[in-house]
Amino acid sequence: MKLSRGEKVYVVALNILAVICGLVCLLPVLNLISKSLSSPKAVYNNWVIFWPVEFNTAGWSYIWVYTSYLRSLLNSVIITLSGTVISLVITILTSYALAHPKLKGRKLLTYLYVFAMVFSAGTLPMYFQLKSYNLLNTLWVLILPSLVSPYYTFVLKGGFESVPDSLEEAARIDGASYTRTLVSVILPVSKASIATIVIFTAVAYWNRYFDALLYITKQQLKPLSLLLYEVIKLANIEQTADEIYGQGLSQEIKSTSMVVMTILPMLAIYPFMQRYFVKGVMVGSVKG
Amino acid sequence: MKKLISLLLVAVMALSLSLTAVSADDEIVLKFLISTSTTDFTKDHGYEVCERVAGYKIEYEILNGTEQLMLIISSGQPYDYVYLSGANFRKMMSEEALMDISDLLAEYGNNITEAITTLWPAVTVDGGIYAIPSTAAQPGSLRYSLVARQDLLDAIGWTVDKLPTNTADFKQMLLDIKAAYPDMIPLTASNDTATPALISNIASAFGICAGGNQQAYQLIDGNVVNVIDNPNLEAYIAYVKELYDLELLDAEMPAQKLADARNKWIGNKAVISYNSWNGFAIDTMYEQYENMAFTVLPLLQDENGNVHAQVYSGVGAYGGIPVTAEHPVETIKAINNMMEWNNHLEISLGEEGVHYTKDEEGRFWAVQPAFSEQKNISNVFIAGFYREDIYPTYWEVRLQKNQYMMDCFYAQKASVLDGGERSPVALAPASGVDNQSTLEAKVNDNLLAAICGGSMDKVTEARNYWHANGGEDLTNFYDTWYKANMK
Repeated sequence: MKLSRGEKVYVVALNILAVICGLVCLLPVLNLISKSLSSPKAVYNNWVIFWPVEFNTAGWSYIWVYTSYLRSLLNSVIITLSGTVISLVITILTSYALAHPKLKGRKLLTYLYVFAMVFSAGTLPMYFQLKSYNLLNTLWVLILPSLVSPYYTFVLKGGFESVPDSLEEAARIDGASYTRTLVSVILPVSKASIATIVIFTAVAYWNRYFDALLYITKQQLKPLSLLLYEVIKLANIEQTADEIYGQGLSQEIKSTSMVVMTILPMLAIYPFMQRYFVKGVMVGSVKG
Repeated sequence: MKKLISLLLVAVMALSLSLTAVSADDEIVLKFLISTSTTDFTKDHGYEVCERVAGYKIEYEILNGTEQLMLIISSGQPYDYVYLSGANFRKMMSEEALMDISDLLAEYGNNITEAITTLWPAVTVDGGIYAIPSTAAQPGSLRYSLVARQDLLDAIGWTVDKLPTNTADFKQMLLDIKAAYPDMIPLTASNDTATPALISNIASAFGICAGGNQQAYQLIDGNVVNVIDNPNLEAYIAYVKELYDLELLDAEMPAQKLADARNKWIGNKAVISYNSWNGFAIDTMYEQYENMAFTVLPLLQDENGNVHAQVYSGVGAYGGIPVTAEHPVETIKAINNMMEWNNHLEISLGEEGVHYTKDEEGRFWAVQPAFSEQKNISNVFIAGFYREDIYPTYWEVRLQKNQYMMDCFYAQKASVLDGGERSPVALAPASGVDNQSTLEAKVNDNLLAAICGGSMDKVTEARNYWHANGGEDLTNFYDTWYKANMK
């Protein structure tokens, strides 16, 4: 199809806008990575923009050697993997049930989910509740409270509802149980929305630090996000002789190195999920 | 299926029995909540020594912040020891969450009472002692002062032996800098210190003590006076305002942080900077500029030839035992063991010949790289209960990790000459005046505004506000406390 002149201009303008938006997101990250790999002199003098100046890996080595990075990385991997898997199972089962027109009391249950989405318990009751379950200072305290997400449940419910009824009916006629129908019919055609939920949930678990800030005091249980918070907090406090580990290493290099090393694992898996992600965010937005 | 369920039940029962067996063990484990650390502290030599000398097994946990502390306290968790900043100590006191440890100290704390010589008033309320006070690590030293690029000053005739000691010469030096280096800021400073309008070197000429950790109060004729009521304040502000109007002082001063001022100094954009001994990144400067030399500028003299400065003093942190502690007696015994002279030395500096050496004059020297590698965070294990009589000396060994920083620290300390005064309120308890921080912020903001473009009326306005909103109560509280406890 041949585009008119006006359409061509429109397409070019859209592309330019998309490139600008992409750069706005990408350049700060590039700046962080470059600073973390530059010399203190270059960072102090603001010479670093989008490329490392006087290449130097001291910041990364400092984080690797002097902080409990590896232990925290392991904690974050455990929390993210188990949290995402369990949360996904719960979200799929709940969404499937709520999407099913035959479920009795579906409306009431949906309202309850909406209620939970709008109102939360507040910090103090939550803390006492978790304490009474002996969950404080365990990795479970960083996994369990966030397992059920009403928002993702509704997103997936929308995805399930967009699957034609005839598919499910055919499966039922062939003698499939509800579980078999879900596993063999519904889930394969909902891969994109599930992948989206996986990414959202995994990123949320990976980045969550406030729970750890309140519920964790054991150093060996800190997730990466809390370690990042602490490194940046210490870097912002005036450096005293007691806190000087890497001589000649600027606080900004420590902070940027820690930020980069925290987001790196997520950045590494992102490209593999991207193709599902783009499809998934569109689920439910267009019907017909 | 039934077999599987039976197996699971057996496993659960076995697990619960084993858990019961563990909890039945009567070995006492003390739970210490200590300050934030990003390193794995179990690898530090200090941890190993504490395990050996404390007499009890100690489980160290990290306090992430005030919010978490308040949750821990309100939920009554049985920590045996908490490391507290000044603000958190005051919060815990107002919640009545700390135990009176005076009897425990008398019975089991002989090393503790021997090690703390002057700091007890800071933790004593109505005769009860509510924490172990920990000395600020660098007592007697100057926290903030002016440091100059001596290589640049040499080139315009302001050599080390000719550096200004009075306000007229100081102004002339800044004018010379402006003329010789038009692209550079003669003097940069920030809004980041306790009393940002006060620059210690200049305030000295007006009899105002600054540069320490509690700059707002000083003794005048035996009375505690807030800076807003200092009789020389107007003269000081007028002088610094003149420097600002002549573009000798950084125009961005009221809006910038210490790190911004430091970056200007490192980036060759400022000749003189107001900062702390650890904030100048001097090693980077030497790497960057071929003829680099730095000087800590002298404090300017008053009309009688005297200098004035406030030196570091008081309590750096507090070690408290919560009322919910399960083992207060054992905790005091453990701390007492750790504060024993030799144990405290070993925790702080390590093993002689391995981590440190001692010369004939009794000075300690770090052995590198062992000291930096194995003793890097040893201080955290005794944080909240440093020996007041010796820890500042041990602390200075930690400075040796960086030669330039150490040189700057000693030069700033020496620049005080005999004009160093300790804050009269350094050991005072919480004032109980609710709007204290608002009052002090108002004074700071107005003084900065008066210097940086505003009129001198701002000073009067701040003074009126201070007196109309309870500032007098605050000063009276400190004055009364000082006269009752420190004279």
